[in-house]
Amino acid sequence: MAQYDLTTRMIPSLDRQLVFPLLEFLSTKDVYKAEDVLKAKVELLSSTGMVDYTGELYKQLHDVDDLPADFDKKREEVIEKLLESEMKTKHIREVIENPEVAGSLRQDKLQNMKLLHENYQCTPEMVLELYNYGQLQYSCGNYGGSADMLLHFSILSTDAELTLSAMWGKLASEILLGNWEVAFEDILKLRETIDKTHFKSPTEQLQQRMWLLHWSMFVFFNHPKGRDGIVDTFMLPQYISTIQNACPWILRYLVAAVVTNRRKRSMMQQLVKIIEQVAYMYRDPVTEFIEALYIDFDFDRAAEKLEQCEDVLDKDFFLTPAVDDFVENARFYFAEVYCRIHKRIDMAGLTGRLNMRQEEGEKWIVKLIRDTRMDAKVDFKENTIIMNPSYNPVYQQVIERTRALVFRSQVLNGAIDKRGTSAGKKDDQKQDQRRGRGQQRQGKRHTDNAVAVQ
Amino acid sequence: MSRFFRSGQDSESESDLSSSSSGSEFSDDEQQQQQQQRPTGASGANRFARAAFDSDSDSDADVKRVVKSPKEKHMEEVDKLSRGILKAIRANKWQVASEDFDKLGAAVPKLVKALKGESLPSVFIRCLAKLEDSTVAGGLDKEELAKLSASDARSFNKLKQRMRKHNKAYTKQIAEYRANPVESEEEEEEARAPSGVPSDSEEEQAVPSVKQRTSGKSAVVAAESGSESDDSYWGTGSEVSSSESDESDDERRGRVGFSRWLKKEPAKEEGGAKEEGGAKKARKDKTQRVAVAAATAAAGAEDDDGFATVGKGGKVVQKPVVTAETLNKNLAAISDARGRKSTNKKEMIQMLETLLGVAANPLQRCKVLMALISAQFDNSASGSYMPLDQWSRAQDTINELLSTLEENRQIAIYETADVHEDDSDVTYTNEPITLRGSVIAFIDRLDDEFTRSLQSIDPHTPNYIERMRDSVPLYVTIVRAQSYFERNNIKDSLCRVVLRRLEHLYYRTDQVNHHVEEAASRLSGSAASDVGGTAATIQRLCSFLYDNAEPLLRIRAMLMHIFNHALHKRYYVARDLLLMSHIQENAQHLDVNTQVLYNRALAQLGLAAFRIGKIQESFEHTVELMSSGHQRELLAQGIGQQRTQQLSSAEEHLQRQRQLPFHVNINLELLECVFLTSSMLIEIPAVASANTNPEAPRAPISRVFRRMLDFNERQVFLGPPENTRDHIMASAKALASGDWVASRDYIQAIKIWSLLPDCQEIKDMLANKIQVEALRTYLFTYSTQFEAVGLEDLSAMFGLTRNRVYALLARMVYQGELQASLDEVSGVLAFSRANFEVSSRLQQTALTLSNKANAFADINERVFELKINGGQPPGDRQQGGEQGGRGQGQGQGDRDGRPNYQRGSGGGGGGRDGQRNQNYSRKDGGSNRTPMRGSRRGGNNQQRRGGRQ
Repeated sequence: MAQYDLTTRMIPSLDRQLVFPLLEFLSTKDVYKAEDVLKAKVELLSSTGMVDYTGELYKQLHDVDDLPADFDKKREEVIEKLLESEMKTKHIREVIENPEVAGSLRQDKLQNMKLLHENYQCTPEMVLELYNYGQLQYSCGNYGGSADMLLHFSILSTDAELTLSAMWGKLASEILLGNWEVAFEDILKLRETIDKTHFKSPTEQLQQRMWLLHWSMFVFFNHPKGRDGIVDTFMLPQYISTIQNACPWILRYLVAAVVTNRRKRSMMQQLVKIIEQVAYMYRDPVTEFIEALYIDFDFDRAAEKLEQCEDVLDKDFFLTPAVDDFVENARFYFAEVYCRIHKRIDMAGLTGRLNMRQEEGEKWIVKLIRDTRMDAKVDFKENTIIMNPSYNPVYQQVIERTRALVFRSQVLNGAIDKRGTSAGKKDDQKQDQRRGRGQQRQGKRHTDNAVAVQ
Repeated sequence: MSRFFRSGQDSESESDLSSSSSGSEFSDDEQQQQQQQRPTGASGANRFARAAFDSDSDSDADVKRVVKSPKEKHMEEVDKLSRGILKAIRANKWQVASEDFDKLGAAVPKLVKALKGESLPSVFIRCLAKLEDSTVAGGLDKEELAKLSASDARSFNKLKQRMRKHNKAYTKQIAEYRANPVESEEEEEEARAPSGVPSDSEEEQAVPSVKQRTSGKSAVVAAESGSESDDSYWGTGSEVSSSESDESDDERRGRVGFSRWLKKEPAKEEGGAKEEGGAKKARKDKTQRVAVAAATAAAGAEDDDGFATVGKGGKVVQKPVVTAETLNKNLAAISDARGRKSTNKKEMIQMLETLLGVAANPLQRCKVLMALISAQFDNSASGSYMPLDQWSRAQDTINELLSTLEENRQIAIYETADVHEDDSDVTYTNEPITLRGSVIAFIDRLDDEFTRSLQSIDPHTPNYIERMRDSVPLYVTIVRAQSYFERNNIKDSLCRVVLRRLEHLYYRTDQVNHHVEEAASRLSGSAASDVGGTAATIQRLCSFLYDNAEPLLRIRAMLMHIFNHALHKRYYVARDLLLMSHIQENAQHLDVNTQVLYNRALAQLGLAAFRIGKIQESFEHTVELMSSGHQRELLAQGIGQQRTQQLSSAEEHLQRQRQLPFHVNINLELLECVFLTSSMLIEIPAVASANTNPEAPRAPISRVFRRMLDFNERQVFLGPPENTRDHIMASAKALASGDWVASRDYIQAIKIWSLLPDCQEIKDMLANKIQVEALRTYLFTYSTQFEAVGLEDLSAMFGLTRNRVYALLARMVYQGELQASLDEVSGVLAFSRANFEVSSRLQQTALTLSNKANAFADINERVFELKINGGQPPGDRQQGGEQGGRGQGQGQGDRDGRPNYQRGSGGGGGGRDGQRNQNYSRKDGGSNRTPMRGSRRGGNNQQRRGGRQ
């Protein structure tokens, strides 16, 4: 199943420490050799400040008790740096954490800086030190501290680039802390900032969006409202194009999000188009399921792919929790398409395709019919479902089409009236005429409305 | 007069050379005289007399003055003139011929009087016949005429006109002569012998002339190749003289040098020059002497060519003494004279070639070569293309410059370098130095001239192929220039030359390119420079340009890259490149040539899409181009008929300049065939669906195709299909009636598919598509007649598997194209009852009416918008807003004229392309709905406008 594993593709767009949970997950799933994963972990952490933990892993990997000398040295260095940074930022931290100061801060960053400088002797250098301290803490795995520092920094700093960087840092910290609520807001903020910021090159912006796509998945698949959030964010035109251009594998998550979120069913049509476009560069069982169902109408293949999907999702860090949900909803979509196309359905065939036992399947179908208020009946004797496809009779069609006309004419009429009165104020005679006509229309409009309501 | 003398002397000394014993010293004398003093009319006459006397004494021992009768005298004169004319014709000296003809005109009546009824001398008749042949009967074609000097050409035309009238009087004689030309000559000889009138000049001149006619191949060659052979003649002459005067061991070297120079073979020349350079200090005086001789010879040759100048103004070209020391001064003088009206360009070239011969070191060589290249390009007449021999000479010179630069890496030529005004060139000792000049300009010009010549040569003649052979050496030159620029790191020029190289590569397939590269590496003698095949080469060149070049070059490179990808069936790569580059958004701001390239890339993209079976995409890419009716202009492949407006000559000239050479062209017939076939596959089911389903859009998708189909249907009598278009129309009709076998056969019978590399594959693909579309069309057409259709039956009818039929039907049902549903148990497609109701006439009319009412409301709204916008049509932004306000795109589709086509058919590529493109552009905040289609239209419009302006 390693061929469908996306970890390797996603790592370039993630922070080192964000990759860690992914590797942790992989080591439980036997996709890769345990030793390889362990090696990757050591490699991953070697440049961070988490010396102790790295040391432990190193021991585990090489099966030794002693660590090379440079581990101690590095450890000392890190601690020294931490202390130094803490000293440097002490003053400004005290100032900021003072509620009085916090209260007097405004929107205008320059103004704030001036205020701090005049009243509390805070220099821009000290603010910058906040950033460094935050970064250092993050590197050592002290995410709470880093989130605070970087928040302070992003409020005070006037450097747009560093602020953006601090926002990323804060988001990472929050994700690793598991503060999904805060992280969710951070993501929305970041999205806004990226859209607004004028980047030097389109490539840079593309990269920022790519990061956001990847990072946000941590949040969206954990936050209660995440499944709405992911669809809303990923389906934005700019992110769709990012997915198409740079990271088509994100489609798997988008599909999963749309499938598991029945309220966003309307998105399916659009999603199908995207999948079709990207099919030449990326496909996996999840997208192939949609392809088979909505493009080729090959139900056998769709059923086959659905089975594969279960396995793939189970091995995916983000989607593991949603496997059952996904399968359940996928069946629903399956049945929906199936019912829409057919007039008479062989129940055994459908349940077989849905990978269910006969009895269980029958129950499921009956439940489906009840829930969705489909116009369908089950014939137990023949063991079939009979659909009553409802087509609009021509009368209904004509009524529907002409109904909108009345409203549109009214709007137009009103607009002309408004324009007429504003333009022709000077001409009393005409105005009078219009008023008269307007009153006539007033009456008419009431009747029209009544018709519309009926 | 003097001219005549000279040509007379030519043959004379020729006879000397052939029978070397008789008059070598005399010839020597002649030559000496020739060199020392310019032959003026008077001295020429003198000398002629002397020459005549000399040869007289040669041939006849007893010198005896015979008193001639008037008849003989006239006879002699006519005879002499006639022969003169004949010779002049052979040598293409029309001015001389014309002058002699005038005199002849005066002499003949006198002779006729003296002859008193006797027949005219046959030589005269022969002369007349010959004149007539070579003038009236079109002995010279235009090209040759263009080579003549102005005065010669004028005389030629004058003669031509006069000949027509004049020869009427002698028709009979000429006809007689024509009947047996050889005999008459012999008769002439015979007749003369017994007549007992020995005429010195006659004897003496008749011999060589006969020789020339009968055996002398060389003579014919000499006569034909005109001035050049003259040169060579003079060259050998002066060579003899110089060798005699020198009488040293220098002799051989000198000879080599001259013959080299005369034949203009740069390879040898180079060698000689080096030799000279090396030996320079040791034998300075001797070199100098040789140089003088060379210059004299050059001057002589110049004189020969520019004879008219001497005759008219009496101006005598100076004979500058050229040595390495004075080279700079001479060079400066030449560059000063450049571009002036009075400058004789040919002289300049010869002068420069002389200078090149004496250049003492690489630095001087470079300087001279640069001047020489410019002079060579100057020499070509503007308007038409450069004559081929001149072109190849220029190419040789450029190659020489490049190899000089390759051998002397310390010399670099920059466009921005300071002018090197140092006279100490002679003492140049290989230190690094920069010269001012522009190698890229030379390359550009050379390549442009090559293209221009290809534009004007008829591509269906062997000449074109002949010309195409030069493309490989040209490519080699470009590659060499590229390596030169790389070595010296001249970014700007490097980009341009790389683009030139790409232009030679992009339109060819890898296979062809591979051969070209191979031939090129063989030619340049180096190992194949490119690893990884030509695709990699193109990739490399393009990425270099993406990184380094200025935007315009980058766009061109990108378009060529797209074209090349598409050519190799890499459709997705090509399309993504096109979409991501956003070229289509600013296509209308580009220059016309780049727009042409853009159109070409699109057309090729359409072909590529077709080849991989993406019919819808192929249609989308080609529809704008093909329905414009200006595809020839848009692709710069010929000038289409202008029905509406007349082009001024300047515009037409501009358009001609833009034309692409034939071998680069995209086959328009193939393009049309592909376009019509895709139109057919899309349009026929759409028509069928529109006929039965009131919901379906009625507006034609491809107007061009509809028009053709309508026209075809109106025909009273239809024969079997002949051309491509007929085939497609016949196929379309068969498809419309559900007869997929006939439809397939018609399509597969089209011959032009064989132009596509994967012909069989494409035919199979088309057969498959036709099956599917036939099924769809059948269902649309007959849905009202059926209650239910069995899947098995359909599968059998259309030769498709049951599963395929099932999937197709499912898709049609799901997308609401067909109001029906599948019955899984009994395996039939059951049409719904609603369908029957719809078929009632009244109900259909009611639906149509409601549609029209909606359209009416739309128009009202639009009119109102127009009014509040102050007469301005509502802009894009407003449209977008208004659509949003009105809900799910009610007016959107109507405005496009094909609403469901994009929204409804989820599988249709139109929506997809638009969609995708939209996404790309949204990234930059664009809000155009389908920017690709829109802007493409814009681009083409612009192009069309550009084309006409």
